[in-house]
Amino acid sequence: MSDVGLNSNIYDISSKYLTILNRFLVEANYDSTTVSSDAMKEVQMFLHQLSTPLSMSFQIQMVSQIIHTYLKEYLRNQPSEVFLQHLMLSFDNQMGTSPEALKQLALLAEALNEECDNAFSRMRVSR
Amino acid sequence: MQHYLEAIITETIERAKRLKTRLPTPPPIHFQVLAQTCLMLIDKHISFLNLLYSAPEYQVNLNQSNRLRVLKTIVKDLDIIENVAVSAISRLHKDDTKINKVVQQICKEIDYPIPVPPTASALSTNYYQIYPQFNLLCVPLLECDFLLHLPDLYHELAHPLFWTENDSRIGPFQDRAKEFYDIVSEYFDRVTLEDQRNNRGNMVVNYNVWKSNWANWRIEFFCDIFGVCTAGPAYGWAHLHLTTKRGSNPFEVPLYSKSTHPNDEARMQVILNVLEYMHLTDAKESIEKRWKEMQGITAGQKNSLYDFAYPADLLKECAFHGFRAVGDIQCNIAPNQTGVIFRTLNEAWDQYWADPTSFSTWERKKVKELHSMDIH
Repeated sequence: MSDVGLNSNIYDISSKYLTILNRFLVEANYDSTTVSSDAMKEVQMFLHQLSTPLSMSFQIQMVSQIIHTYLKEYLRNQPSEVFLQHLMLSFDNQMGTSPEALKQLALLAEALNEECDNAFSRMRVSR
Repeated sequence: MQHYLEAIITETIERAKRLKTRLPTPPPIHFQVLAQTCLMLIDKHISFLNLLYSAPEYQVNLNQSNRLRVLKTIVKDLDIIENVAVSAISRLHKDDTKINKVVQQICKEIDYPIPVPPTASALSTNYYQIYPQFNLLCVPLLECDFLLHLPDLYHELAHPLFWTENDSRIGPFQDRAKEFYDIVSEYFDRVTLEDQRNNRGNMVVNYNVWKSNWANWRIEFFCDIFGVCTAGPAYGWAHLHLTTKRGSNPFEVPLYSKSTHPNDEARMQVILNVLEYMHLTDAKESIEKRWKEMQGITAGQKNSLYDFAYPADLLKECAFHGFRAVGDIQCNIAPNQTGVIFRTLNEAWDQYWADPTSFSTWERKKVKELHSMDIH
């Protein structure tokens, strides 16, 4: 058994949620007042799923694990759960396009982007 | 830089269009679904590339790094389509038909819960590989001529079960996998706290690494469990065989690094536990005996960290949850399985141990019989 089955799935799931975050970031960077409600809702739903460990699906659990591992490295002193709760509250309070929220979302996008890169590399050099 | 990105987008669109011309018309029967998937994915990427080129939101400076990120992802996706899926179709080999028939028959025998069995290709450069996004399973060129490693096909068939969405038959399998990782997380959170209290947190970094690795490890464990449930003892023997021939240190414990596969010892312990659950005690004992003998001559020994990374109770819990997960999706499992591939693979292993010297002759005959049967 090679690593391909696992890594191509990790690549796909990371890529799926990266696309959602990217779409939102691109729209918000272009004009933060005209972000489509679809893009807004998708991100909001994603953040809610990430913040409810008991009811999350298997796929979200995998994505959550990737994001928490990245944030733990990056944030050091702030728990990743607090970071995500804070971001979720921004969206709940219609502040999802604030500069701070966008910065935080960009960090989540970077976490998934890095995982895509890593999973892709592992697929190519699989044992 | 913006113009440069646009030039790359144009170049990538051209390459994607060219890729479509490499598909034979019509593709061979077993590859038509794969060809259709490739065409659909290529078209999806081309329309995204067009958007990336001309949509106003991608023209602003602030979005150039996002534009590049999306572009890179599409280039990666197209790379995989070209190097894996289109290559498998355009470099078709006569053995592809044989392996496709075997995979189709296995799916029928085990009542595989995903309606469309994977397309199989004898193009793999590195043992068995499944690409769930294409529903494509690759095996090495000569694999159809031999029987002892074929049980590993069952492991690969389990990978897509984790990622199929909106399927009520497969949902319970995923729920079990999710619940089991909740148990793993709780376990590592608890021992981390204890370590911080009693041991100045000396092992916190390691516990974090193991907790994170278990997210991937449980997937591989569950695929093994699916393998042993559906292929029976032959799967346990195939794991022994693969480890003996190709494995490194079966007790390897990563201290700081990310790892996708659990070590071979832990995998074997889970497989043995499942054989016990299936009341295949004789097979379990025989495999365990050979496994211990193999360990006597292999490099690497169990070190004190093994039990911290792979606690015996967690391995037992894993076997239990994985066994229940396979039960939940109602596949036909051993020992009640009567399918021709199942019987052939298990008979092959009995024959191999009974008389290794004449096994090759027996195997050649069996392989010929198998491929001449009307099992498509």
